[in-house]
Amino acid sequence: MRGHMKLGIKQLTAGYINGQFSPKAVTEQALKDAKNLKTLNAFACLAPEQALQQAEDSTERYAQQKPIGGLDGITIAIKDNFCTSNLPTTCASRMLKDFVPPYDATVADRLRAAGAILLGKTNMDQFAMGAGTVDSIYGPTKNIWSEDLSQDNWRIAGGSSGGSASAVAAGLCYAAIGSDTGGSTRNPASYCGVIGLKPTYGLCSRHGLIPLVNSMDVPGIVTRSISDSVEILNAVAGPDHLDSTTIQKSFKRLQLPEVDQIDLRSLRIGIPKEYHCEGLTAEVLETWTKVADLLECAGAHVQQVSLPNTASSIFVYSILNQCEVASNMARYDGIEYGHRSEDERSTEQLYAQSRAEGFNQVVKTRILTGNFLLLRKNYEHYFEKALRVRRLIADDFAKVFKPSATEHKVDILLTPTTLSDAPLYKDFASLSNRDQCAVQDFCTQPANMAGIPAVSLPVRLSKAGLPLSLQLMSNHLNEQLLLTVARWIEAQVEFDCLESLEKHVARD
Amino acid sequence: MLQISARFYCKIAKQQISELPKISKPSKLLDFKQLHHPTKVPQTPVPTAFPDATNNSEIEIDAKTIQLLERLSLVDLDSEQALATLKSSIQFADKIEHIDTHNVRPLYTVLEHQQLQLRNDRVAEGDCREQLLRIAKVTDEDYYVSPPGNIPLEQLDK
Repeated sequence: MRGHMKLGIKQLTAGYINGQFSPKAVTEQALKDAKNLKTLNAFACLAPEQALQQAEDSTERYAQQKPIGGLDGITIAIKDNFCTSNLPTTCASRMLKDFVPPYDATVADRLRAAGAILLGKTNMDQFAMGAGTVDSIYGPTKNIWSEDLSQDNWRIAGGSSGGSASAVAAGLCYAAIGSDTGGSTRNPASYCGVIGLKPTYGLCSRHGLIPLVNSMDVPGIVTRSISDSVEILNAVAGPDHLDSTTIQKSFKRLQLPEVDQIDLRSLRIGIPKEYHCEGLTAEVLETWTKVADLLECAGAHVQQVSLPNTASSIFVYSILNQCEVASNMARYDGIEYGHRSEDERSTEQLYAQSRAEGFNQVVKTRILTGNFLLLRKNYEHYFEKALRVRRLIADDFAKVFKPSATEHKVDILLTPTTLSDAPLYKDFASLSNRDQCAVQDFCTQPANMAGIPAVSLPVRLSKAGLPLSLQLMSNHLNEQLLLTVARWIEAQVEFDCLESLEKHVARD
Repeated sequence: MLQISARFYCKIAKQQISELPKISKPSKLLDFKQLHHPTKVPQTPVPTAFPDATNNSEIEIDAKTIQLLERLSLVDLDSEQALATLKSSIQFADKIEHIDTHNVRPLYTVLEHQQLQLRNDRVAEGDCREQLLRIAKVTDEDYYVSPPGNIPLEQLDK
């Protein structure tokens, strides 16, 4: 058992109960750490006053022996595209720079109700359009595993929820909420060596999550361990009358078996062959191969499967993303909220000028492209066509998860998360936003197409000393099994999520 | 040299409990080269069967279409680079053109088997005028304020 995992969420709250630790001391330390590690740029904004107040209330509750929930006194962070009342919610964009929402996202609300202490809002790509957390008005977020954090020789955190992954990897908080539309939680989790969970579409409410692609967006969960991920999921999942796209079935809290109780012998693991695409690095391939072998050694049935429409997925994703973006971004006109230009010549002039000033080039081009793809003459050719191919992609998954006359179903799919370890900023920044996303989202966005749950977990370090991660996927609402298998792998590979910090401490 | 005073929760723990197990390296280091079964993971990239419609011919977008897009988007296509990105994004979208989708219905939502829940037609929330108006930049009494709406967008001829 790894030492630091002794301090998972459950252990920490147990420490609160028996008086070993106090939420106040932990929060003070966390805020201090966040300041000391400011160079990572993980936070868009910190909320020290609110956090300390919450910590005091929590400390008081423990003193009265009346904690309000399983997360009482646990420090968390939330991506800056979830609405938080009394705290700016900017989407890392000038458009929402001064926006303080009058309400809480359901996810934020439920975490607060469970007693979690919100340290602040985390950095991201503008409106979550990116795979690197490099396109933010606050500047890029750095990866704590970088060999060198100075100058331009550092590694990207991944994105778009790079701030959330970076904050958790650096030990600044126990968990962070990200969002995942095409891999935005799993990708940075992969690069930063932490757990990134994308739940089934509709399991967690999107109310208050500023929409990117409504039909694919889900709140994501970043933690250092699978069991912490379960704690957070249990607090936020379940139907929400404020989001009509939540699954109405009541949510049964997950409870994972202890590692030594996990029996893999009846389990069928699928290796979708198409996930070995051009550009997959030898180290990731070796990691994938080894973990498949480990599972087989434990008695699981491992077989190769085919998801033939995988390669088309990234193109479909790109089309649907831009179309939904064009529609979603139409709400920003400067009148009701958000950036308002000085140009008062006419209503449309004001709209156009506010948008010109508020959006970055990536957002603008996606809006223009989306509107092109949605033009009456193009609608059928691009948008409807993409939705048809989307069904083929989703059906590929449905087929492998369903037993047929000729083939057994599989329970879990094992794939890479990202094709490599975290790229250097200078290499990544030289690519266009589209190429950044097309390469980095290859293995992650199919799960969003189909709405199925997926989790990225770190396995080992690359030669460059950076985390290498793998992804597990399963059928709709099969989080229990997905995370049980993830937990088993986690225990076998014994990845040390906080080693990076030791590295930097040792050097300084 | 960058100074990072990295501290994390383990340190609090170290200060407060002496019995914390040492952060140790994995007890059994996995050998990633060693396999016990013939692997099921393909060791070379798998070529895809999908009919790539790559068409390298330059995409032409006429000035009228660009004006229309700018008008619909209320965003300017303000540089050569933006135009190039637009064109290459369209080429990217063209890749799926030859995939056979005959008799395949569009998948609008992955929740298509769930009925959308309708709420009762009863006021459940409201009375938040003040909160909402507070976040607007310009208001007058209980109104949002906008400049004249009967003047069309000025567009430069390109």
